[in-house]
Amino acid sequence: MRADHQAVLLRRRVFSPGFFSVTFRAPTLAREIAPGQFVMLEVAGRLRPYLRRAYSVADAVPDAGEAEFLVRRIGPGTAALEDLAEGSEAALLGPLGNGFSLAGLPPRARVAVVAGGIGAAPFPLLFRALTAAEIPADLYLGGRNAAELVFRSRFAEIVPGETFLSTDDGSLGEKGFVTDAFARRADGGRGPFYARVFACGPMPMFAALARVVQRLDCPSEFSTEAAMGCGFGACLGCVIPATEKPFVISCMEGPILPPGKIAWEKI
Amino acid sequence: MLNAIGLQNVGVEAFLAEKLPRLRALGATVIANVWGDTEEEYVAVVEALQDAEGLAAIELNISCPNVEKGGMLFGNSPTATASLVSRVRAATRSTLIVKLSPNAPDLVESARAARDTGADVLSLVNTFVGMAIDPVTARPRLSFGTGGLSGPAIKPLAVRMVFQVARALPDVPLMGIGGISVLSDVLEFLAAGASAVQIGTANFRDPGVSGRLVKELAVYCADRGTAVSSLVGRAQRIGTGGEAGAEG
Repeated sequence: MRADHQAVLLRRRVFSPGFFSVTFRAPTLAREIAPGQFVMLEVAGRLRPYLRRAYSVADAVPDAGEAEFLVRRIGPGTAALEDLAEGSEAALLGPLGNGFSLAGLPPRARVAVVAGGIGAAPFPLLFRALTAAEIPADLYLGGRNAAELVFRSRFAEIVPGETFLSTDDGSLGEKGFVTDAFARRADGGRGPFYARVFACGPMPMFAALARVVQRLDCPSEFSTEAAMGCGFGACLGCVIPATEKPFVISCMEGPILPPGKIAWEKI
Repeated sequence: MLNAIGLQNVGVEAFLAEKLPRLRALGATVIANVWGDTEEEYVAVVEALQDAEGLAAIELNISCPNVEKGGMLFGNSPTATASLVSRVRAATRSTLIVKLSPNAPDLVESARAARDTGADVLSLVNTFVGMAIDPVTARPRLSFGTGGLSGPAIKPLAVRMVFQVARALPDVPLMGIGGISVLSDVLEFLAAGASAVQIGTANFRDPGVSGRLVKELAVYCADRGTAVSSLVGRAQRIGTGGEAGAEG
């Protein structure tokens, strides 16, 4: 059930300057959150940023009562999390949004996870669910350069399949876009290699990936990124141009959306 | 908050069929906020709402800065305000609230025009037209170019405007709006002359804020053995020590 959870920061792990994870004690949230869902986070006692910020829950361990977020510092909201002292409080409004779906996968199905940059954030929890369901999954993790792939160590032990790294500048893994790395392997020639694709990243990555999965006729779920004022359908700031109606409300009807619902030419 | 969200909504028919029954089932007091491109559209929507069960009042939005026509156009000229309000007044028996634009050249004149043509209540203020630019790319942050500024940044401006309109039109009930987040903000608007307040932006930060402030206000009054009504306009009685609106 959606609630405003008062959570205490247990620890911060710095992967590199500006890239870190924060783990909060939030037992109810840890129990209820599903992969791909998010919270609206407010650091207690701060007026800047005034509005909360949306964060995908990266991982949740119900037994320990812990919820973890992967964060890249980009502005005052993420900087507040970077500065938050262990033992301090934040308010986590959630769970919000719909989450990824593992339902209806055929037996022995293999799935792909495609992540661009900080788009890796929601996937540790999804890999936990895929592992529990014994569904093999490959991770395609891409970024502009090696520095943007610093979260790769977070995935070292948890991907129930292979991991393919790529960078635009070739400084780590294959040189080129993550969508190309995915397309090279996903196109098996005899129908789609993957039964489902889960993706999160910037809009240009989504637009390119949407063309690939459409060509391969591969069912896909994209974790859309839109600036969210509230996270619960009141402000309507996060709408995305849609195909079947003018807009979809990302926070309520998403954030996980099939690419066919998004009017890419209007973005 | 600087936004260019505009007036996305489901339309009056879906509002009557779906949203109003849901709000009534929750026990909420419902005020419908109405906007149109033309006077005819405002009147048509108000007429559609006329026989709705459980509508406490109708509020005219004549001041949204994020729509290309209509909206703020009606709010920026006292003549246009008067023409619209008198037509809507003729079309409805409901309590009529007119939401004023802080971007109007003379807010008191706009307020007077709305009052003289049939507004029962005035609400003020809507958002201020603002702009933000990415310092690196030099592009506007909002795709619309400009947007409406709300939240704590506008509170002193809004309090001043409520104070001025309350002074000029002491018999018109006012609803104060602009950056209210905590109880002291509510008390400030009441002191300036508002009989009630609206909360917008703060709901996005904390969806429970309105209910909490209602309770806090009740406790504040109970602790002091006073009524909300006696808090209204206290600053008017004390005075400013100067002329509100002075720039020096």
